Amino acid sequence: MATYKDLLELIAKREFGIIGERNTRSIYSSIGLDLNGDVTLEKNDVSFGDLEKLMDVLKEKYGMVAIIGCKIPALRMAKQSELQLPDVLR
Amino acid sequence: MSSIDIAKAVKIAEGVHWIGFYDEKAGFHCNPYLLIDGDEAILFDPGSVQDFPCVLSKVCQLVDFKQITHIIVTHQDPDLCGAIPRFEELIYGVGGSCKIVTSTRASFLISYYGVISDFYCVDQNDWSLTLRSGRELKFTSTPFMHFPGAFVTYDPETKILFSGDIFGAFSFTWELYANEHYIEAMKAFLENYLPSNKIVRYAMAQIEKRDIRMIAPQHGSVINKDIQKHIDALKGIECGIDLEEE
Repeated sequence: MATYKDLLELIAKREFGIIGERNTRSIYSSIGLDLNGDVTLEKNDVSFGDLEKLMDVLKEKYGMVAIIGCKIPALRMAKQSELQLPDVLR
Repeated sequence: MSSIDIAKAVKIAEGVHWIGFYDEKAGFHCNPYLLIDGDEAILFDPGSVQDFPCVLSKVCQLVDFKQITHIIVTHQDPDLCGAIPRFEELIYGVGGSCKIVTSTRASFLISYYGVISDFYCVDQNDWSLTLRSGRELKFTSTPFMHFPGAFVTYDPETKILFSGDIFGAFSFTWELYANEHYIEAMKAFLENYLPSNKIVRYAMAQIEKRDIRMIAPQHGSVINKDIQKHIDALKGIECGIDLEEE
């Protein structure tokens, strides 16, 4: 079963393509989540709240393109692992 | 960003130029191309009304309007076709004329832009177009990718595949040539616009019959290496109805 940590790592990889690696690392850091070189999160206890915060910052800085671009894999992982998603990802 | 000057037309192969517009604030970019063959010029997916001034300035750097004999459009969307009537005004205004090269299905819809040119429907012309020089462009049907009459254009001389929306991407950190993160950017766009994996795999099977050196999509970046890797990535994409069926 996937966790919110897995989900946020999946989104990070996708955002490397959409908003770029540097911008993705910067946004994750701004919400207190640091990404390692292999695009894993340093922190283990990642929550739904972190996902909500990430979506808010992405939407504010880049608009819906950055959200829609990661929506399909996020939906799939959430569905398989019964993870709650913020409205913007549903 | 590399040292390529994207404020000007960029030659991507002999006689083939990127004439697109990079909007730094947008996550979605327009990539029209111009193929020049002797005294003839072919415009691929000329773009939207918003992009027209930038695209026009690049066309002007390369050819006279009279040289544009064909406008190839893979489907009818406004981000590809919005500028067609404006280009027609300029082409016909200097005594030129052109044909709009598309599928019959798309032609019905493109006519609503108020275009004045005749259509050259690829599906009624043996899926090829012969230029005055004898050079032949080959078309491949890619149904439902993402329009029922969608197709791609292959130029055997440069081995470029002009792919329309296929291989396009979302990207805020756009570069003319695809980088190591391009597959993710491509999936980000195409997962949202393609109907199913089965349809994608059919299209990829048709596309990989060609000897491709470069893929030139209408959005995103030009793919000039690891062609098969990008084709394989699309073969694995899950999109559209796939998620509903899970």
